[in-house]
Amino acid sequence: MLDHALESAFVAYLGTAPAFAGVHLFTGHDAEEHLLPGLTISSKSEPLAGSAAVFRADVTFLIETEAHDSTPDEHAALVESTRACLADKHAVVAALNAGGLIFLYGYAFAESSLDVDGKRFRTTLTLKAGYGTP
Amino acid sequence: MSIKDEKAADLAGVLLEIGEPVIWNGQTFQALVSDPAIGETLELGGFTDTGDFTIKIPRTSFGAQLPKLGEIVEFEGTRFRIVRITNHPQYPLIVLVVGPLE
Repeated sequence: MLDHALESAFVAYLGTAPAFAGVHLFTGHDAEEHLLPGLTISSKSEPLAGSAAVFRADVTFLIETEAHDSTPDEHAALVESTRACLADKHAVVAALNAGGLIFLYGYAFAESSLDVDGKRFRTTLTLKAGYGTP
Repeated sequence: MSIKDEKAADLAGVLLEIGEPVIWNGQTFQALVSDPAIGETLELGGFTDTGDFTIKIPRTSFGAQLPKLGEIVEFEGTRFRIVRITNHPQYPLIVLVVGPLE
């Protein structure tokens, strides 16, 4: 439940960025048609030892573009836009916390990976986040 | 009349009776369309369309330009992407295997 709240908070934040106009944003647990270009944000959390209110999450940002409809450069630009939107941590944390869904303490980029799947360019950005209930 | 001519004539008759309009590259072609079976799979981030079906169009309907992999065809108001093409010189039909757009 809290994972979905964290995903939704990121989706709401990135959905307002001009760079994502025309990009379909999804949480991991969405039940709508998965259209491209798309950004899917999914989270996997575990509680910190001894805590029922504070969690550590691996949050993945899956950026996908259809290989016939986009160029590798366009895909790379979308990846870079995602990084840029998340670069100002103070602003992101403040914006997500203002939404009231979760309370985000902070995050750090952990890794990224490139992949192709069928007809799609796929890049995954993963960040480690610490968060809790508001 | 050669067997090839006979096949072409029969094909014209079949298309006249049960052919269906398919749009490629802004042009409408009469085609034999198999059951357009498209399903969906729930993945991370929503439902992804799956499946494919065939669209057969007489080679003679095309000019010099033939459909290519990855291009879009439209059938009954829905756009599909060409994922495989069969183009055998001894067979009068170009066979397009099409699937969901994304």
